[in-house]
Formats: sequence, C-alpha cells, structure tokens
Amino acid sequence: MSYRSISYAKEQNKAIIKVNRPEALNALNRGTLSELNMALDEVQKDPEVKVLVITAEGQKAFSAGADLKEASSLDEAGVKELIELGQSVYRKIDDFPKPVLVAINGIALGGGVELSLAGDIRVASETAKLGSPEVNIGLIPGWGGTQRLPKILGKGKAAELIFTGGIIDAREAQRIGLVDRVLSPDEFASTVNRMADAIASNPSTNRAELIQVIKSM
Amino acid sequence: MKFKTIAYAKESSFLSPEENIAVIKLNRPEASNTLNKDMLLEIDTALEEIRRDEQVRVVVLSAEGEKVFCAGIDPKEPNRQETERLAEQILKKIEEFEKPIIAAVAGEVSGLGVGVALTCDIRVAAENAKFQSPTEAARRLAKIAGRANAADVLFSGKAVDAKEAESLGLVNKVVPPDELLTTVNWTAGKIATSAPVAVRLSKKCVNKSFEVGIDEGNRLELDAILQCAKTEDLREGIKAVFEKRSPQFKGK
Repeated sequence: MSYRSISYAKEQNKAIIKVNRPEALNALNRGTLSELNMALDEVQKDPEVKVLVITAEGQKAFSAGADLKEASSLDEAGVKELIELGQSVYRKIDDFPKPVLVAINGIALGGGVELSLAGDIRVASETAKLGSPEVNIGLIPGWGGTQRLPKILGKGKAAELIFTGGIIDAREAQRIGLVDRVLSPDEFASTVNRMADAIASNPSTNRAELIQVIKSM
Repeated sequence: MKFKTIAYAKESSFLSPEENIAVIKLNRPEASNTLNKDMLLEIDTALEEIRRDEQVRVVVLSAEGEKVFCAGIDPKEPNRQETERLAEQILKKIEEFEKPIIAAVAGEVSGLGVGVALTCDIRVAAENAKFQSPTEAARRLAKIAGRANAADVLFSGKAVDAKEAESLGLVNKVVPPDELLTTVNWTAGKIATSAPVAVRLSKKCVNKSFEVGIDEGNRLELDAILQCAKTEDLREGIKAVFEKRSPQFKGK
C-alpha cells in the first residue's frame, strides 16, 4: 500500500505510522484520516507486528489538529461526516489489539491531542506544546477529547484544559498526566525506539489477555 | 442584590475589561464559613442571577478569611437533615451549572465543605489548604483524582494538605496564599474569553464522560459540534485564526 499524507514503515516487529504533512503542521484532513484508517487495518492484519508507534514527520509538529481550511469549507453534512470519520479512526486506535505508543514529537493541538489520547502510552519531546484550544475558535473537542481527557487526567484537570483552551508545555503536560514521559529532543527517537522494542519483545504468554484488560479500562 | 451570608461581585480580568467573572464568597468567617439554610439559599439566588446575566461567563467560588474555606454544615442548624438535603440540591446545581465554576480554596476544608470544593469544575488551592477526608464526596473524588488515589485518601481517613492534594490530583494547582486570587482570576479570564456556547457544551460532555461509554460520548460530542456549527461565534473564531487576531465572542 502506498500513502501520501501518512507514511508507514515496518522495522522488525514494530509498525511506525507517521502523519506526513509537515508543510501543514501535520493537520488532519479527511484524506489523512482515511489513510490512517487503512494503515491501521494493515497493521492489525500483520501478525508480525507486536507494537504500533504513532508519530509524525518533521521536528515542529506532531499535529496541529483538524485541518481548519478544509473543515471551514464544509456544510453540515460534511462536518458530521468529518467528525464521525475522526471518531471512528480514534475508536479503532482505542480498541487496537496491539499496544499503541504515541510519540509526540512537537506541537499537538486539538485533534492532534485527541489522536494521542486514543493510544495507550504517550511520550513527548521536551519541545512539544499541547492543548485543546477548540473553545477559542467556538468549537469543542469532537474526536473523543471530552470523553478521554477526564479519564486520563481526572475531571478537574480535563475541565481546565478544555474550558480555558490553554496551551501548555511538555513538562506541564507531564505534571497533569497528559503525557507519561518527557524526552529531550536528541534522545527522543532512540528512546521511543527502545520503548517500542521493549513492548514488542515482552514474552508474556497471556499478552492478548493483558492487552484486552488494559484496552477495556 | 444584597446578601448577608455570602458576598457577590463581578470582576474583569487582564484579558478583558468586561466584568465577565462572577465571584461568590462564602461570608461567615466567624462561623467557619459553615453552610446554613440562609447561605445555601443565597448561593442559589446568586447562581440564578448569574444564569440570567449574559455578561457573566464563569464563576469563582471562594471564602472570606484565610483560615477556613468551609467547615461543612453549621452544627447549630435546627433541622440538619433538611439543610443537608438543600445542600445536596445546591451541589447538583453547581455540578450542572452551565457556566464553569472554579473553587479558590484557602485554609481548612471539612465535612460537606469538601463536597462543595470537589463539585466545582476546577480547584485552585492556597498552600495552607487542608482537606479533611472527603467521605461525603467519595464519588466525586474518584472522578477527580482517579480510583486509586481516592481509595488511598478515603480508606486511610487522613487529611490531605495542599501539596499532597496537588500530587493526588485533587486540586488543579497549588499557589502561595497571596497568589490565589490572581491565579484564579487568570484561569477565569481565559474561560471568560472563550466561546460561551462551546464552553457550556463541553462542560456537558465532560460531565457525562464518566456515565456513558465512548460511543454515546462521541454522539454527544457530535451533537455539540453541530450546535457550535450554527453559532456566529464559530465563524468569528475561524476568521480570527486566519486574520491572526483574538476573537470577540458574543455567546451566539
């Protein structure tokens, strides 16, 4: 399968999906979400893959969220379709039968943060900035953010992040529980790689069950 | 409006000269800011006024004095059960109130006072804040701090000081006492300049997140987005992004 807005690579038993629109701060348009959806299916079917890493191309952005240029041109039916597309792709990540490690290499806003929330583990580069600024343009997080943030951060911290629309740095994101680890930019790729290897090589015999337990929480 | 057991005022913030922040202050420091029937009814009246006041977009709940935020129900109340029932109604109102409510907590918090603090959407605490074991707000504590942290606090029955409250996630942030009100004003100011319809709908979705599964939650989000899509504020918000300026929201 060849992709345009994402890239997909396999390294031994790791699958790496990257959002690949660095020129648009890796904003998520319909095409990107659809390709992400296809790549997820490809990874799911591949019995060799033991762990999925979701990250993005470039140094600057993980994802600036929904592509505003595209979204603002849509009519009501188009908006509904776009919201449902994102929700279903993120739902697929949520339910993914293999562990999903999200490597936040830079700015993650709105739908970008929501993408990360669907994964199991989030690590961020020290240079990353994160936030759910939807209320600052008149929207709410619509790809699961209002549902997953309270469970990950607790209700109070989720409320603050969502209602203020504030943007925070990686350290603050770690303090409030939005990311699990913060890595310096120069060790980012290698540490993510090592973490993924550790997950992939875990020999637990009841692996499928463990994944099931964690995913159903 | 004249109040006796609370103080009510409107404030602006550094983000806007508009007085779009309402501040309710529990005002019975001589009685440890305990809740009696009068105070609960006055809180109710103030909330109704805030609901009608289109200028107000966010509420701060604080208390007079630095020693006690609220020590629960007044032990002198003649009919305690009746006051408790009334208090539960007010807590439910705070939880479901369409404008976000931020608790600014300094000093001792005990009994149903903990329930009041935990029912607000956001909590900022002064370094001297101290929460007695919030057995009366167990369910709310679990949503805020997570199940393990809630179990830790509830089963041990221990009081939680500000620093521990922060590490358990019971409060959003801890600040020196003299920075409490400015910190809260800053957070309130951010919310007050966000799009009101979007804030209201996102609070609804967040509140539901512990009661519904992800599919139902996603449907709520979709409904909310479609409502937002009908607002003037969304058009203004997107325009402001492309014009690289701050948006001016009207709540419409």
